[in-house]
Amino acid sequence: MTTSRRDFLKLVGTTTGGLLVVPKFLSAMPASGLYPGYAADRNVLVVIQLNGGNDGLNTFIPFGSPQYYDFRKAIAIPKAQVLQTAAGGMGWHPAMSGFAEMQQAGHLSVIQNVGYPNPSRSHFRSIEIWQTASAANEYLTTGWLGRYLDATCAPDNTLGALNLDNIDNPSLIGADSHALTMQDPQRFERLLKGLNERREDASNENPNLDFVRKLMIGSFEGSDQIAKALEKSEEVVPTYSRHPLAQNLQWMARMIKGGLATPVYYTGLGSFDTHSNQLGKQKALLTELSASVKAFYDDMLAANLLDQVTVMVFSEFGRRVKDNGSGTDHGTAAPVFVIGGRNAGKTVGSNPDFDTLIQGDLKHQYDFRSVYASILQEKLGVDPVKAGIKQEMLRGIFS
Amino acid sequence: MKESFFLSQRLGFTNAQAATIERLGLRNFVSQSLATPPTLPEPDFLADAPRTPNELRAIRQMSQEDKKQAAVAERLRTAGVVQLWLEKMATDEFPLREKMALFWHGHFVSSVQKVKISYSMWGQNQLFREMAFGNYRELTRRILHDNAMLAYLDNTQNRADKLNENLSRELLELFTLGVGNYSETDIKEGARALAGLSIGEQGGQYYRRWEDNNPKTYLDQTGNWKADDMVDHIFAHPKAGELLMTKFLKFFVTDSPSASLIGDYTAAFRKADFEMKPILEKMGQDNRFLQSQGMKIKDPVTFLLQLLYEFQLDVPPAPYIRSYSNGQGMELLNPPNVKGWDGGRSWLSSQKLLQRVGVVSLLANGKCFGKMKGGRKMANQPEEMQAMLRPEREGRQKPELRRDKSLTKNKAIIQELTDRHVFAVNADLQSACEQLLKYDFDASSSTAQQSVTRLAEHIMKSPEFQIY
Repeated sequence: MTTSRRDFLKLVGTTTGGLLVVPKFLSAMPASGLYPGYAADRNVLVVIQLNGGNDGLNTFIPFGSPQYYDFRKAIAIPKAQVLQTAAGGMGWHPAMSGFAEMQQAGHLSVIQNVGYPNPSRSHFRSIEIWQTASAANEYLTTGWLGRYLDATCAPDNTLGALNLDNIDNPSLIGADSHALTMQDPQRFERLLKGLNERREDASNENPNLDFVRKLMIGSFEGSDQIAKALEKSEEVVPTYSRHPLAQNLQWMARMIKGGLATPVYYTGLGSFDTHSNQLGKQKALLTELSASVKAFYDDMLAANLLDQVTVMVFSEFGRRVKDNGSGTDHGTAAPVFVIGGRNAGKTVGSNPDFDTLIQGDLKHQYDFRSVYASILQEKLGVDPVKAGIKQEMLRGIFS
Repeated sequence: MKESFFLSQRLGFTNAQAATIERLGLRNFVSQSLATPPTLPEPDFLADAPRTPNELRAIRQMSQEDKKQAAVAERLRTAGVVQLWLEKMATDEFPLREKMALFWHGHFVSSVQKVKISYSMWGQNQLFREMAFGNYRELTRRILHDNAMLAYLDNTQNRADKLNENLSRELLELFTLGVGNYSETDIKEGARALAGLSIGEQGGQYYRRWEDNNPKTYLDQTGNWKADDMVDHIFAHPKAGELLMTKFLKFFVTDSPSASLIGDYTAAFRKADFEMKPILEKMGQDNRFLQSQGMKIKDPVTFLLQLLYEFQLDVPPAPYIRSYSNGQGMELLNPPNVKGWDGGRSWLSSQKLLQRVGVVSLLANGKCFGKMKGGRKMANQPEEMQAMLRPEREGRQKPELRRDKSLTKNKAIIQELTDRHVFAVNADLQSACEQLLKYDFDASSSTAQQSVTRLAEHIMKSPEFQIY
């Protein structure tokens, strides 16, 4: 993946007296829609949404606290099984060995006790709050990343974000449509061949019709560039497992390595809604999470791209501190994980505090919107206010 | 689109009832639909399906290998129920009952992925069919005693000494009042009232040793409440009915109902003591319904049934449909989560749209519908099950487009097809149609049917066809 400096300049930069001036927002994207190769200031965000409310306490475990074992009589992870790679009495679920390794390599940060005031214990409301970055009593129609894309993308750019999922993700909804949803790009390409050749202009006679037309146009516009990016990055690191998350991340890796100018990738895993039989269910899901992210990390590291790619892993809420006999009911604050993107490799915040529970749930220490603010400001190079986020950014995640 | 086609699609799934609607008039069509009894006998392939708590326990105690076999058999039986239901939707003379069963399935959600017991899913499906036009409060009561629901929302694990809030929460949040109309305390107290209610031979029942018989305060009322009392308190709440009517209007009338429309139907629903029949009758006489063409995006089941009807194809065996329904995000008996399908714009994404367009090509050209999932496992199944899921007709039928063959002029044919299929025709679509079926079209030519099929294919791939 080498490219001449001249090509690079033609696409992404301008020169002033021999000095390379890289445009402030590389997310404004090269005209071709593709990066010609390695671009040092490029920043990519990969969001992994753990659907259904992952139990943070059994993921990054306060095994040093006797209270944890008191509250979790049925489902505590025995101390001997906890991967004790972190400091301060915290350690990983045994299925999270990949995360433990990334942490030991200094490439993973944990932000403890992330939530928001007056937490909702409804899946649907809480995920909406995280996706729209609203307050608990505020209802927004656009997502935080959708607003970011509105602020930084050209109006007709439909490749601002790629969402690998069955359904559109509300985080990516903006005033304009800058995101494409697909299950996997290869299949997407195949399906495209069956489509009408006719491209239609959007009209405004019927909002539903406009919507469908825009989808049809969008799928044309994006597909060429995706196909090119895939072509450019054909070598596949064989370490990805067959898990759906691993497959999604592998596709993202190919597009990132192929130089696709898309700054945001989004996908999900779960359901983590472990009201019953939590031990087995969560173990299987965490195994998929850890193995998939680790494979992606190895891939990025080998391609020398890890510094440019930030992975954020979150869930709409953690779960009740006291177990219900075989699982856990809906709770509140939980840890958020950040991998790559030159993060500081630290644990931000204190261990879960069992002495200040509210209605049996953990009190949040950091507002999730301050984590978003930090990613927007420090990684995506945009003022968080432009994405509708007023919270101060949380310092200490990135070095 | 001609009104009778539109009404046929909205009150059923396809254009199949258009002639009946023209003959009876809308009002009589609705009242006849409401008077038609539920008729779907239990299929033979469920005869051996495990159902009682003892039979289910026996499975849990099987060897790993036998357990696996049993699970495969259950998955196939469920596929059979799905196929049966799709066929019923496709062939019912008055499909409004099935349409309402689908509505309730999307409201009182359970998924076989978690429940895993085909007979429970069948039982719930029959409950929705039986109660399709019934009373919402009564159905809420029955669903709290439904084996599939009790398993799906973990009430089988809810015991006085270790409460499980799942069913209690969704009962208020998603099934009845909606967020903002109850407190976290109501959830906790409700879980206590539901403790010990678990699956039984004749549906859910309380098991004494797991019950909590202390007083609970639920929606401001204090007493030793049980499931039925909870339902009474919920339906005494001034907001009861609003959530359901909002969903009902989205399902039948428009993806974005106005506040006044919701208010109007909620008031009528409350006045009718939560009976569905008066609401369906009201809708059948409501101009806002008659004038709602183009206000809904088609769901994947409706989209598929319409194509099958127009090309005169049978419903393919369920295992063949799986990759379609999977890709489209609408697998019957397996909704994505307890909230059910969001509907509206969530039915489409770029990729789903491409898949729909691809399916039009497949069906119009008589290609095999899709690959069968799980073919190898099928070989080990009893013959009657194989016969049910894998009849020889698999995707080998020749498509025969429905159209009025007495029409010979290109414009008349275009007119007929656009009347059948799309709510609006703009200049672009019209001119594309006229390019496909030119003025010198010869209706007696040996390729005439093929040319008209090509035209229909184009119309069905248009953005307009996604909407009705």
